[in-house]
Amino acid sequence: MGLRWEVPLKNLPYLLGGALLTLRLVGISVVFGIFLGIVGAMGRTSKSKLFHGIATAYVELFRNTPFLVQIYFAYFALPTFNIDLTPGQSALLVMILNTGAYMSEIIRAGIEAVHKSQVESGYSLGMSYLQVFRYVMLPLAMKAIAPPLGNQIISMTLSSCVISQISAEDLTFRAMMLENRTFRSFEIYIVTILIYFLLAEFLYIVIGYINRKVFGIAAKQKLPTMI
Amino acid sequence: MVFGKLSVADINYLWRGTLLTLRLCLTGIGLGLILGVMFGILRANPRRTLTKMIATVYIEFFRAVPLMLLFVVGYFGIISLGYNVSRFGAVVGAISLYTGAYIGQVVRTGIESVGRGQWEAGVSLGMSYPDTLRYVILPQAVKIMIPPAIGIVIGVVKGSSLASVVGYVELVLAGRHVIQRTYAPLLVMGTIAMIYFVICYPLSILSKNLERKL
Repeated sequence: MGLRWEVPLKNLPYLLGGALLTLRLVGISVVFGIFLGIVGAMGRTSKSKLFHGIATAYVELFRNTPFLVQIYFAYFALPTFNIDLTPGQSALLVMILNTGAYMSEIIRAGIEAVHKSQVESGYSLGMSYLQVFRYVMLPLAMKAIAPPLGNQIISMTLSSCVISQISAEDLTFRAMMLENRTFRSFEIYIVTILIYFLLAEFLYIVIGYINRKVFGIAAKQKLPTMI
Repeated sequence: MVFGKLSVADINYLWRGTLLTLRLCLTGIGLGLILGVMFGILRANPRRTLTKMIATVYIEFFRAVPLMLLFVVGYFGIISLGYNVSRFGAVVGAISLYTGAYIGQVVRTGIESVGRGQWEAGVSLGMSYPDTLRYVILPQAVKIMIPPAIGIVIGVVKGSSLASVVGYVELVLAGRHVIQRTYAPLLVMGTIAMIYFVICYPLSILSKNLERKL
Protein backbone atom coordinates (compact mmCIF):
# COMPACT_ATOMS: atom_id res chain seq x y z
CA MET A 1 0.00 0.00 0.00
CA GLY A 2 1.49 3.30 -1.07
CA LEU A 3 1.83 6.21 1.26
CA ARG A 4 0.19 9.45 0.21
CA TRP A 5 2.08 12.18 1.97
CA GLU A 6 0.44 14.80 -0.23
CA VAL A 7 -2.77 14.43 1.84
CA PRO A 8 -1.39 16.01 5.03
CA LEU A 9 1.02 18.25 3.11
CA LYS A 10 -1.72 19.78 0.97
CA ASN A 11 -3.66 20.46 4.18
CA LEU A 12 -0.66 21.80 6.06
CA PRO A 13 -2.13 25.33 6.44
CA TYR A 14 -5.22 23.79 8.03
CA LEU A 15 -3.06 21.79 10.46
CA LEU A 16 -0.77 24.72 11.24
CA GLY A 17 -3.86 26.79 11.99
CA GLY A 18 -4.68 24.08 14.52
CA ALA A 19 -1.20 24.44 15.98
CA LEU A 20 -1.95 28.13 16.50
CA LEU A 21 -5.19 27.21 18.29
CA THR A 22 -3.17 24.88 20.52
CA LEU A 23 -0.63 27.61 21.25
CA ARG A 24 -3.41 30.08 22.03
CA LEU A 25 -5.04 27.68 24.50
CA VAL A 26 -1.67 26.97 26.11
CA GLY A 27 -0.92 30.70 26.31
CA ILE A 28 -4.21 31.48 28.04
CA SER A 29 -3.87 28.57 30.45
CA VAL A 30 -0.28 29.51 31.29
CA VAL A 31 -1.25 33.09 32.16
CA PHE A 32 -4.14 32.03 34.40
CA GLY A 33 -2.20 28.98 35.59
CA ILE A 34 0.62 31.17 36.91
CA PHE A 35 -1.87 33.26 38.90
CA LEU A 36 -3.44 30.10 40.25
CA GLY A 37 0.01 28.69 40.92
CA ILE A 38 1.00 31.74 42.97
CA VAL A 39 -2.20 31.50 45.03
CA GLY A 40 -1.68 27.73 45.42
CA ALA A 41 1.94 28.19 46.49
CA MET A 42 0.87 30.82 49.03
CA GLY A 43 -1.62 28.31 50.38
CA ARG A 44 0.95 25.53 50.52
CA THR A 45 3.36 27.71 52.49
CA SER A 46 0.66 29.41 54.57
CA LYS A 47 0.32 28.89 58.31
CA SER A 48 -3.49 28.98 58.10
CA LYS A 49 -4.61 25.34 58.29
CA LEU A 50 -7.71 25.86 56.16
CA PHE A 51 -5.89 27.66 53.34
CA HIS A 52 -3.08 25.10 53.48
CA GLY A 53 -5.53 22.19 53.41
CA ILE A 54 -7.49 23.51 50.44
CA ALA A 55 -4.34 24.29 48.47
CA THR A 56 -2.81 20.87 49.22
CA ALA A 57 -6.00 19.01 48.26
CA TYR A 58 -6.20 20.97 45.01
CA VAL A 59 -2.56 20.45 44.06
CA GLU A 60 -2.38 16.75 44.94
CA LEU A 61 -5.73 15.93 43.34
CA PHE A 62 -4.76 17.47 40.03
CA ARG A 63 -1.22 16.14 40.04
CA ASN A 64 -2.18 12.56 40.81
CA THR A 65 -5.05 11.97 38.40
CA PRO A 66 -4.81 11.73 34.60
CA PHE A 67 -5.47 14.82 32.52
CA LEU A 68 -7.93 12.81 30.42
CA VAL A 69 -9.99 11.90 33.50
CA GLN A 70 -10.06 15.57 34.53
CA ILE A 71 -11.25 16.53 31.05
CA TYR A 72 -13.96 13.86 31.07
CA PHE A 73 -14.98 14.90 34.56
CA ALA A 74 -15.45 18.51 33.49
CA TYR A 75 -17.30 17.56 30.34
CA PHE A 76 -19.45 14.61 31.44
CA ALA A 77 -19.82 14.97 35.21
CA LEU A 78 -20.13 18.73 35.75
CA PRO A 79 -23.53 18.89 33.95
CA THR A 80 -24.83 16.91 36.96
CA PHE A 81 -24.46 20.17 38.89
CA ASN A 82 -26.15 22.07 36.07
CA ILE A 83 -22.80 23.44 34.96
CA ASP A 84 -22.98 23.04 31.21
CA LEU A 85 -19.75 24.00 29.51
CA THR A 86 -18.97 23.82 25.82
CA PRO A 87 -16.08 21.52 24.85
CA GLY A 88 -13.82 24.56 24.44
CA GLN A 89 -14.75 25.94 27.87
CA SER A 90 -14.28 22.58 29.63
CA ALA A 91 -10.94 22.13 27.94
CA LEU A 92 -9.68 25.56 28.91
CA LEU A 93 -10.98 25.25 32.47
CA VAL A 94 -9.20 21.93 33.02
CA MET A 95 -6.02 23.13 31.31
CA ILE A 96 -5.89 26.15 33.64
CA LEU A 97 -6.61 24.11 36.77
CA ASN A 98 -4.13 21.40 35.78
CA THR A 99 -1.31 23.82 34.93
CA GLY A 100 -2.10 25.80 38.07
CA ALA A 101 -1.57 22.71 40.23
CA TYR A 102 1.81 21.91 38.67
CA MET A 103 2.87 25.56 38.87
CA SER A 104 1.88 25.74 42.54
CA GLU A 105 4.32 22.96 43.24
CA ILE A 106 7.07 24.59 41.18
CA ILE A 107 6.57 28.00 42.79
CA ARG A 108 6.35 26.46 46.27
CA ALA A 109 9.65 24.64 45.77
CA GLY A 110 11.15 27.92 44.55
CA ILE A 111 10.05 30.03 47.51
CA GLU A 112 11.01 27.33 50.00
CA ALA A 113 14.52 27.58 48.59
CA VAL A 114 14.62 31.29 49.57
CA HIS A 115 16.73 31.68 52.68
CA LYS A 116 14.81 32.25 55.90
CA SER A 117 16.87 35.28 56.86
CA GLN A 118 15.70 37.09 53.73
CA VAL A 119 12.08 36.58 54.71
CA GLU A 120 12.73 37.65 58.28
CA SER A 121 14.49 40.81 57.20
CA GLY A 122 11.39 41.61 55.17
CA TYR A 123 9.18 41.24 58.23
CA SER A 124 11.57 43.24 60.36
CA LEU A 125 11.20 46.10 57.89
CA GLY A 126 7.52 46.10 58.77
CA MET A 127 6.30 44.39 55.57
CA SER A 128 3.09 42.39 55.61
CA TYR A 129 2.99 38.75 54.50
CA LEU A 130 1.73 39.78 51.06
CA GLN A 131 4.48 42.36 50.71
CA VAL A 132 7.15 39.89 51.77
CA PHE A 133 5.75 37.39 49.30
CA ARG A 134 5.61 39.89 46.46
CA TYR A 135 8.85 41.85 47.03
CA VAL A 136 11.15 39.34 48.74
CA MET A 137 10.20 35.73 48.08
CA LEU A 138 9.02 35.85 44.45
CA PRO A 139 11.95 37.83 42.98
CA LEU A 140 14.50 35.70 44.82
CA ALA A 141 12.72 32.49 43.87
CA MET A 142 12.41 33.41 40.18
CA LYS A 143 15.76 31.86 39.27
CA ALA A 144 14.76 28.53 40.73
CA ILE A 145 11.25 28.74 39.31
CA ALA A 146 11.92 29.75 35.70
CA PRO A 147 13.48 26.54 34.28
CA PRO A 148 10.87 24.05 35.59
CA LEU A 149 8.15 26.54 34.69
CA GLY A 150 9.37 26.46 31.11
CA ASN A 151 9.37 22.67 31.10
CA GLN A 152 5.84 22.72 32.44
CA ILE A 153 4.72 24.94 29.57
CA ILE A 154 6.24 22.53 27.06
CA SER A 155 4.66 19.44 28.59
CA MET A 156 1.34 21.28 28.75
CA THR A 157 1.59 21.98 25.03
CA LEU A 158 2.17 18.29 24.32
CA SER A 159 -0.50 16.93 26.61
CA SER A 160 -3.07 19.51 25.49
CA CYS A 161 -3.79 17.23 22.50
CA VAL A 162 -6.01 15.26 24.88
CA ILE A 163 -8.70 17.95 24.72
CA SER A 164 -9.54 16.78 21.20
CA GLN A 165 -11.25 13.83 22.89
CA ILE A 166 -14.15 16.04 23.93
CA SER A 167 -14.01 17.66 20.47
CA ALA A 168 -12.43 20.91 21.55
CA GLU A 169 -10.73 22.33 18.48
CA ASP A 170 -6.94 22.15 18.45
CA LEU A 171 -4.21 20.67 16.26
CA THR A 172 -5.13 17.06 17.04
CA PHE A 173 -8.83 17.73 16.50
CA ARG A 174 -8.07 19.13 13.06
CA ALA A 175 -5.93 16.08 12.32
CA MET A 176 -8.89 13.89 13.30
CA MET A 177 -11.22 15.88 11.01
CA LEU A 178 -8.77 15.48 8.16
CA GLU A 179 -8.51 11.77 8.85
CA ASN A 180 -12.30 11.41 8.81
CA ARG A 181 -12.36 12.90 5.32
CA THR A 182 -9.39 11.11 3.82
CA PHE A 183 -8.72 7.93 5.88
CA ARG A 184 -4.96 8.46 5.62
CA SER A 185 -4.37 7.96 9.36
CA PHE A 186 -0.70 7.10 9.23
CA GLU A 187 0.49 10.01 7.09
CA ILE A 188 -1.73 12.57 8.84
CA TYR A 189 -0.79 11.59 12.37
CA ILE A 190 2.93 11.31 11.60
CA VAL A 191 2.84 14.87 10.24
CA THR A 192 0.84 15.96 13.31
CA ILE A 193 3.39 14.38 15.64
CA LEU A 194 6.16 16.20 13.76
CA ILE A 195 4.30 19.50 14.17
CA TYR A 196 4.06 18.88 17.92
CA PHE A 197 7.76 18.02 17.98
CA LEU A 198 8.66 21.27 16.21
CA LEU A 199 6.31 23.19 18.49
CA ALA A 200 8.05 21.74 21.55
CA GLU A 201 11.52 22.48 20.16
CA PHE A 202 10.45 26.01 19.23
CA LEU A 203 9.14 26.65 22.74
CA TYR A 204 12.29 25.12 24.18
CA ILE A 205 14.45 27.58 22.25
CA VAL A 206 12.25 30.58 23.10
CA ILE A 207 12.07 29.69 26.79
CA GLY A 208 15.80 29.01 26.93
CA TYR A 209 16.41 32.44 25.39
CA ILE A 210 14.14 34.14 27.95
CA ASN A 211 15.80 32.24 30.80
CA ARG A 212 19.23 33.39 29.65
CA LYS A 213 18.37 37.01 28.90
CA VAL A 214 15.90 37.78 31.69
CA PHE A 215 16.96 35.51 34.52
CA GLY A 216 20.60 35.01 33.60
CA ILE A 217 20.26 31.24 33.77
CA ALA A 218 22.74 29.25 31.72
CA ALA A 219 21.25 26.85 29.19
CA LYS A 220 20.61 23.58 30.96
CA GLN A 221 19.59 20.22 29.68
CA LYS A 222 15.91 19.51 29.60
CA LEU A 223 14.50 18.11 32.79
CA PRO A 224 12.14 15.19 32.54
CA THR A 225 8.57 16.27 33.06
CA MET A 226 5.52 14.23 32.39
CA ILE A 227 1.82 14.79 32.83
CA MET B 1 -30.91 10.77 41.55
CA VAL B 2 -27.83 12.89 41.38
CA PHE B 3 -25.31 10.14 41.92
CA GLY B 4 -26.92 7.14 40.25
CA LYS B 5 -26.14 3.59 41.24
CA LEU B 6 -23.61 1.00 40.21
CA SER B 7 -24.51 -2.67 40.01
CA VAL B 8 -22.12 -5.46 40.99
CA ALA B 9 -21.50 -6.10 37.30
CA ASP B 10 -20.50 -2.47 36.80
CA ILE B 11 -18.09 -2.58 39.71
CA ASN B 12 -16.59 -5.81 38.38
CA TYR B 13 -16.19 -4.19 34.99
CA LEU B 14 -14.36 -1.23 36.52
CA TRP B 15 -12.18 -3.62 38.51
CA ARG B 16 -11.29 -5.49 35.34
CA GLY B 17 -10.40 -2.13 33.77
CA THR B 18 -8.14 -1.33 36.73
CA LEU B 19 -6.34 -4.65 36.31
CA LEU B 20 -5.87 -4.02 32.59
CA THR B 21 -4.50 -0.54 33.38
CA LEU B 22 -2.04 -2.10 35.81
CA ARG B 23 -1.07 -4.80 33.29
CA LEU B 24 -0.45 -2.16 30.63
CA CYS B 25 1.58 -0.01 33.04
CA LEU B 26 3.71 -2.85 34.35
CA THR B 27 4.48 -4.15 30.86
CA GLY B 28 5.23 -0.65 29.63
CA ILE B 29 7.44 0.14 32.60
CA GLY B 30 9.27 -3.20 32.30
CA LEU B 31 10.05 -2.77 28.61
CA GLY B 32 10.65 0.95 29.10
CA LEU B 33 13.23 0.21 31.78
CA ILE B 34 15.12 -2.09 29.42
CA LEU B 35 15.06 0.49 26.62
CA GLY B 36 15.79 3.36 28.99
CA VAL B 37 18.80 1.78 30.70
CA MET B 38 20.20 0.72 27.34
CA PHE B 39 19.81 4.08 25.59
CA GLY B 40 20.63 6.07 28.73
CA ILE B 41 23.99 4.32 29.04
CA LEU B 42 24.67 4.74 25.34
CA ARG B 43 23.89 8.44 25.59
CA ALA B 44 26.05 8.98 28.65
CA ASN B 45 29.10 7.83 26.68
CA PRO B 46 31.54 10.76 26.74
CA ARG B 47 32.84 9.91 23.26
CA ARG B 48 30.89 10.87 20.14
CA THR B 49 29.88 7.52 18.80
CA LEU B 50 27.16 6.53 16.36
CA THR B 51 25.27 4.72 19.12
CA LYS B 52 25.33 7.87 21.21
CA MET B 53 23.82 9.83 18.35
CA ILE B 54 21.07 7.26 17.87
CA ALA B 55 20.33 7.26 21.60
CA THR B 56 20.22 11.08 21.65
CA VAL B 57 17.80 11.24 18.73
CA TYR B 58 15.59 8.55 20.29
CA ILE B 59 15.46 10.19 23.71
CA GLU B 60 14.97 13.74 22.46
CA PHE B 61 12.32 12.77 19.93
CA PHE B 62 10.07 10.69 22.15
CA ARG B 63 10.24 13.22 24.95
CA ALA B 64 8.92 15.95 22.67
CA VAL B 65 5.83 14.26 21.22
CA PRO B 66 2.40 13.62 22.74
CA LEU B 67 1.80 10.09 24.06
CA MET B 68 -1.78 10.07 22.83
CA LEU B 69 -0.66 10.51 19.23
CA LEU B 70 1.87 7.70 19.62
CA PHE B 71 -1.03 5.45 20.59
CA VAL B 72 -3.06 6.70 17.63
CA VAL B 73 -0.25 6.17 15.11
CA GLY B 74 0.71 2.85 16.68
CA TYR B 75 -2.80 1.48 16.29
CA PHE B 76 -4.93 3.38 13.74
CA GLY B 77 -1.92 4.47 11.72
CA ILE B 78 -0.44 1.00 11.37
CA ILE B 79 -3.83 -0.53 10.62
CA SER B 80 -4.48 2.05 7.89
CA LEU B 81 -1.30 0.79 6.23
CA GLY B 82 -2.89 -2.63 5.98
CA TYR B 83 -0.95 -4.35 8.75
CA ASN B 84 -2.69 -6.21 11.51
CA VAL B 85 -1.77 -5.26 15.06
CA SER B 86 -3.49 -6.10 18.30
CA ARG B 87 -4.64 -3.18 20.44
CA PHE B 88 -2.56 -4.37 23.35
CA GLY B 89 0.52 -4.79 21.17
CA ALA B 90 0.23 -1.31 19.67
CA VAL B 91 -0.45 0.32 23.01
CA VAL B 92 2.37 -1.49 24.80
CA GLY B 93 4.79 -0.67 21.99
CA ALA B 94 3.95 3.03 22.13
CA ILE B 95 4.05 3.34 25.90
CA SER B 96 7.33 1.40 26.13
CA LEU B 97 9.07 3.62 23.60
CA TYR B 98 7.74 6.69 25.40
CA THR B 99 8.73 5.46 28.87
CA GLY B 100 12.10 4.31 27.58
CA ALA B 101 12.94 7.82 26.43
CA TYR B 102 12.12 9.36 29.82
CA ILE B 103 13.93 6.62 31.74
CA GLY B 104 16.86 7.02 29.36
CA GLN B 105 17.11 10.69 30.25
CA VAL B 106 17.03 9.87 33.96
CA VAL B 107 19.73 7.21 33.56
CA ARG B 108 21.89 9.58 31.58
CA THR B 109 21.49 12.44 34.08
CA GLY B 110 22.20 10.02 36.93
CA ILE B 111 25.41 8.75 35.32
CA GLU B 112 26.58 12.26 34.46
CA SER B 113 25.92 13.51 37.99
CA VAL B 114 28.60 11.19 39.40
CA GLY B 115 31.78 13.20 39.71
CA ARG B 116 34.65 13.05 37.23
CA GLY B 117 36.96 11.88 39.95
CA GLN B 118 35.13 8.59 40.17
CA TRP B 119 35.72 7.94 36.46
CA GLU B 120 39.38 8.80 36.84
CA ALA B 121 39.65 6.55 39.88
CA GLY B 122 38.28 3.66 37.85
CA VAL B 123 40.61 4.33 34.93
CA SER B 124 43.64 4.69 37.19
CA LEU B 125 42.89 1.24 38.59
CA GLY B 126 43.18 -0.05 35.04
CA MET B 127 39.46 -0.69 34.64
CA SER B 128 37.84 -0.53 31.21
CA TYR B 129 34.96 1.86 30.42
CA PRO B 130 32.24 -0.81 30.89
CA ASP B 131 33.85 -2.04 34.10
CA THR B 132 34.10 1.47 35.58
CA LEU B 133 30.50 2.09 34.62
CA ARG B 134 29.30 -1.18 36.10
CA TYR B 135 31.32 -1.28 39.34
CA VAL B 136 32.01 2.37 40.16
CA ILE B 137 29.51 4.71 38.54
CA LEU B 138 26.18 2.86 38.38
CA PRO B 139 26.06 1.84 42.07
CA GLN B 140 26.36 5.52 42.99
CA ALA B 141 24.09 6.76 40.20
CA VAL B 142 21.16 4.45 40.97
CA LYS B 143 20.41 6.30 44.20
CA ILE B 144 20.05 9.56 42.27
CA MET B 145 17.91 7.93 39.58
CA ILE B 146 15.23 6.43 41.80
CA PRO B 147 13.16 9.52 42.79
CA PRO B 148 12.76 10.84 39.20
CA ALA B 149 12.15 7.27 38.00
CA ILE B 150 9.22 7.01 40.40
CA GLY B 151 7.94 10.28 38.97
CA ILE B 152 8.02 8.62 35.56
CA VAL B 153 6.11 5.62 36.86
CA ILE B 154 3.39 8.04 38.01
CA GLY B 155 3.42 9.62 34.57
CA VAL B 156 3.04 6.21 32.94
CA VAL B 157 0.09 5.29 35.15
CA LYS B 158 -1.63 8.55 34.26
CA GLY B 159 -0.58 8.35 30.61
CA SER B 160 -1.94 4.82 30.25
CA SER B 161 -5.41 6.38 30.44
CA LEU B 162 -4.79 7.67 26.91
CA ALA B 163 -4.85 4.09 25.61
CA SER B 164 -8.64 4.43 25.83
CA VAL B 165 -8.41 6.66 22.77
CA VAL B 166 -7.60 3.68 20.53
CA GLY B 167 -10.21 1.48 22.17
CA TYR B 168 -8.09 -0.44 24.64
CA VAL B 169 -10.55 -1.10 27.48
CA GLU B 170 -8.49 0.03 30.44
CA LEU B 171 -9.93 1.89 33.41
CA VAL B 172 -11.06 5.06 31.65
CA LEU B 173 -12.74 3.35 28.69
CA ALA B 174 -14.31 0.81 31.06
CA GLY B 175 -15.65 3.81 32.95
CA ARG B 176 -17.10 5.35 29.81
CA HIS B 177 -18.87 2.06 29.03
CA VAL B 178 -20.30 1.99 32.55
CA ILE B 179 -21.47 5.61 32.13
CA GLN B 180 -23.33 4.63 28.99
CA ARG B 181 -25.09 1.82 30.90
CA THR B 182 -25.88 3.65 34.13
CA TYR B 183 -25.84 7.30 33.20
CA ALA B 184 -23.97 8.18 36.39
CA PRO B 185 -21.03 10.21 35.06
CA LEU B 186 -20.28 11.93 38.35
CA LEU B 187 -20.08 8.73 40.36
CA VAL B 188 -18.11 6.79 37.74
CA MET B 189 -15.62 9.53 36.84
CA GLY B 190 -15.20 10.37 40.52
CA THR B 191 -14.47 6.73 41.32
CA ILE B 192 -11.98 6.48 38.48
CA ALA B 193 -10.21 9.64 39.56
CA MET B 194 -9.96 8.22 43.08
CA ILE B 195 -8.54 4.90 41.81
CA TYR B 196 -5.79 6.76 39.96
CA PHE B 197 -5.21 8.94 43.00
CA VAL B 198 -4.86 5.91 45.28
CA ILE B 199 -2.21 4.48 42.93
CA CYS B 200 -0.30 7.70 42.26
CA TYR B 201 -0.38 9.61 45.53
CA PRO B 202 1.59 7.10 47.65
CA LEU B 203 4.15 6.89 44.84
CA SER B 204 4.54 10.67 44.77
CA ILE B 205 5.05 10.75 48.54
CA LEU B 206 7.62 7.96 48.29
CA SER B 207 9.46 9.86 45.56
CA LYS B 208 9.46 13.04 47.63
CA ASN B 209 10.79 11.26 50.74
CA LEU B 210 13.56 9.48 48.83
CA GLU B 211 14.54 12.78 47.25
CA ARG B 212 14.77 14.43 50.65
CA LYS B 213 17.04 11.65 51.89
CA LEU B 214 19.59 12.20 49.12
